[in-house]
Amino acid sequence: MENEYIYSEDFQAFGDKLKNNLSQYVSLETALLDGNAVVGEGESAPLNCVQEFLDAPLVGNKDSALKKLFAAGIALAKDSGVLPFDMPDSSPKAIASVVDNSLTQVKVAYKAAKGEIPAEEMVDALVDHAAVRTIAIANAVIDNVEATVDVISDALSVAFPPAALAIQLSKPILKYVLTLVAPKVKEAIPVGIEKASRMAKEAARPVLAKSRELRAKAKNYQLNAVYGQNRGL
Amino acid sequence: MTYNEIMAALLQAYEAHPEMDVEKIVAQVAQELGASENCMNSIKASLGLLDEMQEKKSSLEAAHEEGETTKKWILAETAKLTEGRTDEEKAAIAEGIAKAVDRGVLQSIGVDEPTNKEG
Repeated sequence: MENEYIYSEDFQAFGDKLKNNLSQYVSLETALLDGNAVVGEGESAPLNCVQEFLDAPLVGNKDSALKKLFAAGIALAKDSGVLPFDMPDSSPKAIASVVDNSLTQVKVAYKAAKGEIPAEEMVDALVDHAAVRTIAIANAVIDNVEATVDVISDALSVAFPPAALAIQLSKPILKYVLTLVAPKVKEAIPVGIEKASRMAKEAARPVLAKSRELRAKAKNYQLNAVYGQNRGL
Repeated sequence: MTYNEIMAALLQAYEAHPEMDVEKIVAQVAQELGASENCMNSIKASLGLLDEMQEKKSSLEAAHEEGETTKKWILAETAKLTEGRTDEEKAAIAEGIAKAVDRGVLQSIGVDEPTNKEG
């Protein structure tokens, strides 16, 4: 049994790589959050169920109900042709991912604004949720797809769109949630979002510093593929 | 009905009956809106996936309480979901999972696939 894959160094390396990639992805995405961009106009119409969602601890199972309602709302609106934002992929995986991600973002922001979660733990909390989404989606698709690298990665990529698109998808949900809370909470959440964004920008520095190098390498690879030789770039 | 009106119908139905199973509330509102069968199936699948996410969240929280790291939890869960597969399949599944997130990172910083494999 000792030489089974799950006991190998490669498997450990996979764990390191995935955790690292999740941290990078979440940092890049969260760094793009903008507290000012989610403040909407108009009066608030606070709902208890939304406040209860925000007040419930980050751990535990009190989040499900609201997430399900939002997921259903998006699906129903898409079906009726009235979804007010563009959602290129509106599969069940995409809807569940967007809802889980954005409602977690608003909850973490609220907790951070209230001082219930230290600023330095905000990104970690979001990374943990991303890890959960990854495993849950993998679990859901694994028996229905071919077990090859590309098929698996394609099935999961819905949960990891480019950061700018991910923010584009979560922004309307964050904005809508802010219409459902009391004025003081409506003020607090953008403050928390800004805190999260600042922490994430710091965490994203290494990958952003490396991005120029990566873009140059990618260009080099693509040029090699076209010209069939090493241009020594 | 607009998106806001649909959301209001769902949220207010839940607000009025928080003791009710949220899936029953969703089914009721969806029926009132005349949702298509495709839409109902999509909703069922999304809600099922959210249940799966909650289950995994509880599992991660339990692991943290035991002093396990998120990485260790990821490995344990990946081992579970690849149980019964050949080593080749296990490696492919793990690599596929990592690749999906890696792709998200690369696309976020403006790098399109394929990248230099030697890099």
